[in-house]
Amino acid sequence: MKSAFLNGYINEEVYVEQPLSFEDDKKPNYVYKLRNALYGLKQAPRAWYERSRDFLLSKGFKMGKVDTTLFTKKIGKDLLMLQIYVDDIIFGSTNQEFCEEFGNMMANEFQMSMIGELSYFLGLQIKQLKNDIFVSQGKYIKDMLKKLVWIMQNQLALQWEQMKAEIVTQVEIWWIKSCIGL
Amino acid sequence: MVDQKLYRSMIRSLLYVTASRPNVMVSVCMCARFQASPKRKSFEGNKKNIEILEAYTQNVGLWYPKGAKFELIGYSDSDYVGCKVERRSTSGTCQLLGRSLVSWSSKKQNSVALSTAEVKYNATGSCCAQILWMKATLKDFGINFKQVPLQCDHESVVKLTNNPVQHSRTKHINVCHHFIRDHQQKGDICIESIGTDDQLADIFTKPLDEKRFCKLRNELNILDFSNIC
Repeated sequence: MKSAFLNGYINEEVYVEQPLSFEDDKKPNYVYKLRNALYGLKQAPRAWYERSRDFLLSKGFKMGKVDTTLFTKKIGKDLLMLQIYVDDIIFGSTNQEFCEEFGNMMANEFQMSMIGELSYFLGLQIKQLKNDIFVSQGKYIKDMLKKLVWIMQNQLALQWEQMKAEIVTQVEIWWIKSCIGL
Repeated sequence: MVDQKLYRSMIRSLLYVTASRPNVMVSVCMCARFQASPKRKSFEGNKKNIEILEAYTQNVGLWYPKGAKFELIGYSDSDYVGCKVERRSTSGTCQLLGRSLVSWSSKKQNSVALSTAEVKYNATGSCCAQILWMKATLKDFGINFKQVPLQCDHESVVKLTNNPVQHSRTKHINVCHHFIRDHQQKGDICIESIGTDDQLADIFTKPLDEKRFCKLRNELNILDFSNIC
């Protein structure tokens, strides 16, 4: 989904200052009133959710009672399911046709790019094989390790320096103390 | 002694790994207990966790095979006084759909328990709560379950749930843990007894020896990708 939050409509009155290069020379004290949601706005996620929810409900989807970001639709014997995670949407169906149809429908309503078969979601790598599905986090772990190992090496080196500094001062103090006969 | 912020960020990163690798749950949770004042030793424990992840092939993950059988089943287990500081026990639960592991938890209990039966009773209660939620979620998918089997390896717990009377030795158990009896009678769940060897939730309660750990890990379908293809 491209720039999902911009799709949301806003019900409250929200104003923004004139942004750079959109200033009006004649009316410098005026502010803009928002019609659509903007990124960084407190209301933006809710506005986007309401927009997408209303659209899906109008297309005959049923909202999940427990998980309100799960939408299902029954067409004859087939089932179409979709799960929304902010601006990521995953969907699946028992019938390939409905998947394509739904993809086109969403592309018409929102600016959307289809990535194709699910292979990566929220840091989870998903491999779909003929008879099974395999979920792993190899990429996430690799990135995490790289980051943590780097931090730890720096951290430990720093601590050792601090400790060494402390030892030296203590020894010095002891030496000074003994020198002056304490 | 150790930078608390760094320690917490390590825990955070490791906790997300448990999303595809429940077998590291116990060790990560163990490290997470020292978050309030991480000492050098706990820091090293955390480092060990990371080293283990590094040493093992990074392709380990959850495997969901296709199968005709699609039944919800819950396992609950606990250790007894695993935390030597607070004398509290750890409950571990997991829920499977057919042969696929879909939900799991490992949590130090909120109260000190007097007997193993009480500890396992509490663990079974939290497993029951999770099952109830999953039942409600699955209803959204159009799947209804009745009498979900809940496997517990403690005979007393099974008896306690099936026979809702007060005993002198269970009087002190808080009322909130007794909701499990209610759901047993309503038919939402069905508590069953299981042998300790077949208890899959064992892996979420305490550190195990290598043989048992690997056995449980394989049974939960946490496999290396290269072994499947």
